[in-house]
Amino acid sequence: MNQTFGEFFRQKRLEQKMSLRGYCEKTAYDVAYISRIENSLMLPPKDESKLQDLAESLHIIKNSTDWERFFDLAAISHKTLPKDIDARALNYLPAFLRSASKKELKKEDIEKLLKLIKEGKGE
Amino acid sequence: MTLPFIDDDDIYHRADIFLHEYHPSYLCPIPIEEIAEVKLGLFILPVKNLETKCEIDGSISRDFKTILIDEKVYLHQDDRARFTLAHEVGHYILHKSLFEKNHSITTIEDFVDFQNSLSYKDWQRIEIQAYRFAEEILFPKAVFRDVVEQEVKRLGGLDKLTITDLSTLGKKIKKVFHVSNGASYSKLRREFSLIIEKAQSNIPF
Repeated sequence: MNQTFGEFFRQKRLEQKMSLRGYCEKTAYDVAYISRIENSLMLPPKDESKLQDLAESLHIIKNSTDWERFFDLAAISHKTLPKDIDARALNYLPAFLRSASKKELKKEDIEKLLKLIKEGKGE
Repeated sequence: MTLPFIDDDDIYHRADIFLHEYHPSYLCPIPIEEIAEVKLGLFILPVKNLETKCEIDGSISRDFKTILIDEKVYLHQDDRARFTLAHEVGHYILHKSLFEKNHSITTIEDFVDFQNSLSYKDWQRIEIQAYRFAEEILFPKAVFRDVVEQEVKRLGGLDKLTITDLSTLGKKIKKVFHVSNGASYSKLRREFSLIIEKAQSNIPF
C-alpha cells in the first residue's frame, strides 16, 4: 500500500504515544495545520529546515531510514497532492448530516462546510 | 437505505463487546481518543467554527475514516470532546455498514440528495443509537453502578439523600468518567431515576 506523507506522520506521532492534541500542546504546532497535513488536506512545508523541525518533533532519528522516508514522502506529496485535495475533501463530508434547526440541506451549506474542512479556518 | 431497529439492550451488548475488545481493563475514564486513533485507526480532523457555522460539534466522515470535531470543543472542552468522539465511534460501530452501500456519491449534489433522502425521523434514530452507544462505552455499566452505589452510601444512604447530595454525586460521576455535567446527569436519570426522585423529595432537615 502506498503510504501518504500524512499517514506516515500520524504513524510516527502514534508511535510516540502522543494524541493529536498532546502532540500540538507539546510542540506548539497549530492543530488545524497538523491535522490537515495528516489527512492530506494540506501540503507539508517545502522549506527543508521546517520539514526537519517536524521530523525532529516526531523524534525521527537523523539520517535513519524513517528520516529518508519522511523527506521522500514529503517530496512525493508536493507532486501529487495539489490536484487531489478537492476530490479528497468530498470524502470528509459527514456520513449523516443534519442540524437541530435545519430540516433540509442546500448545496451552499455543503460548500461552506467543505471550505471549513479544507482550509481549517473559521472566517 | 433501510435502518435496522437496534434496541437499548442490543446497544449495551455491542458496547460491552467493544470495550472487551478494545479496553478490557474497563478502567475509567475510558481512553476514547486513544481507542479511536490507535485501535480503530481513525483520523481526527478539528474544524474551526464547525459548531457555530454548521450547528454540529462533531461528525464521522462518509468514508468512516475520520472524525471531524469542532476545534474549540476538541482543544478546550475535554469532557464534551470525549463524548463527541465516543458518539462518532458509535456511528462507526453501528452504522458503517449502512453507508458502505452508498458509493455512488461523487458530487456535492449527490451528497445533498442523499442526505435529504434520509427522513428526519431516521436521522434522529441514527443519532439516538450513537448517543446510547457513547453512553454505554463511557460509563461501563458495572463500574457506573459501583461508583453510584458507593457514593450514595457515603452520603448516608438513599433515604437521607437530598438535592445538594445530588450535586455531589454528579461531581463524583464527572470526576471518575471525565464527562460533562449534562452527560452525567442524563446517565444517572436513565440508570437510577429512583435516586433522583428520592433526592428531590427528601427535605434537607
